[in-house]
Amino acid sequence: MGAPPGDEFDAFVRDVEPRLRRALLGSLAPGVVSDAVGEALAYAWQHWEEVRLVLNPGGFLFRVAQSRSRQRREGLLPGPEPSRLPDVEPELGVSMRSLPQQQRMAVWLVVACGWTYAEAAEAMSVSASSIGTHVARGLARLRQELGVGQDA
Amino acid sequence: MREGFPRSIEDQLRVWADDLETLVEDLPPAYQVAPRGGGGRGRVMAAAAAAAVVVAIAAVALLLQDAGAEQVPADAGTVEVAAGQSFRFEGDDCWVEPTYRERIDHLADLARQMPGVSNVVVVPPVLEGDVAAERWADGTGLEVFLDLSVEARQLEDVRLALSDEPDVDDSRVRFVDRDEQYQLFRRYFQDQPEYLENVDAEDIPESFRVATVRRDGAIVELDGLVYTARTPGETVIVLENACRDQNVARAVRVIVN
Repeated sequence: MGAPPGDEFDAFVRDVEPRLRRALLGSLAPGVVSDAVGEALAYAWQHWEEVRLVLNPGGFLFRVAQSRSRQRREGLLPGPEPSRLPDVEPELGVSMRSLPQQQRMAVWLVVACGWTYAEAAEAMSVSASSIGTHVARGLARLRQELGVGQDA
Repeated sequence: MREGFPRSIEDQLRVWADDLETLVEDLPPAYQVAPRGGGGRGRVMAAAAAAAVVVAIAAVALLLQDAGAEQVPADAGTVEVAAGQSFRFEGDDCWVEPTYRERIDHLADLARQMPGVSNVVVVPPVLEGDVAAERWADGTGLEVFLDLSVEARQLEDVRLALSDEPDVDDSRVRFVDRDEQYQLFRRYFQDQPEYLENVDAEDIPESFRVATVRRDGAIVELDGLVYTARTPGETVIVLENACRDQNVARAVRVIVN
């Protein structure tokens, strides 16, 4: 498998790395996210001929990064820092962690990280239509638990 | 919602993600990350398998760009689909039977709620680079780890609850005791002495290794309601009973023959 041209891979990293890092914060402890992103990008470097063909490389590398992180992945979404985040409801973290895994991940990727349904579907190995369902149900449950309406 | 937090849920999630990003150190450029060295036939085979997955995903992604999707006949009991052929499900009220992946994730969610369970690990979608890849080689879909201090009654309750799940192959719910877990651990991490030195047998949880009933042969790839076959001879079965159960016009199962 050939190594990518430097310029091409630089551009790829500039596009994918920030989005991948943000997405992984939803399922990995912050302390290991950098290593996980590095592992995923190393994989992309080693398998460039294949990765460059993937329609949603961010979603695919998300799976690679999770697979290569051997620590427990579930329920690690850390709570907001109250001292630095006056605009976030503290119970939001509790409510997010109470969501079923698929709903939590879909909400995180699509809403918090701005991924498309197709990208999230690639990351979670489910269909794009399933992502839509998970996001809708997850947000509905968050609104119910936090007592907010659609617009608040 | 407390007063003083007027932002929408969506806005708050984005703010939260922004904040978490500040906790992560800046990454070095990717090309400074030393790729893992090769080594071992198993690793080479795993890498080849991962590459095959990538190629398959890429192929499906390209095929999905084909706008010439056919409509599935409404009265069809089964539809044979050639590799690369696309078709569109009717309307919005179509239910696709949960894939293998979705079903084991659902099982994992259930298991996490059981008393005495400390963690549930689901077979990773990509095994290359996973030191414990052999754990999944026998068809195990998920492994349910127990609390270190689990009581005998809780252990039996977990076993019964798992076996009762319709998606679980109850003949393949296997208890892995601490001795076996420790031996596995020593084998998986034989090249990492820092792990071996700092983890004793009593630190290793017992588990149930669980296999699911595989009703479908592969993950279904859907883009909206368009399905594209990835291998020759796939069969789409219209499930009449599921239509009633799910209260939808069309319910389908995809089988890779």
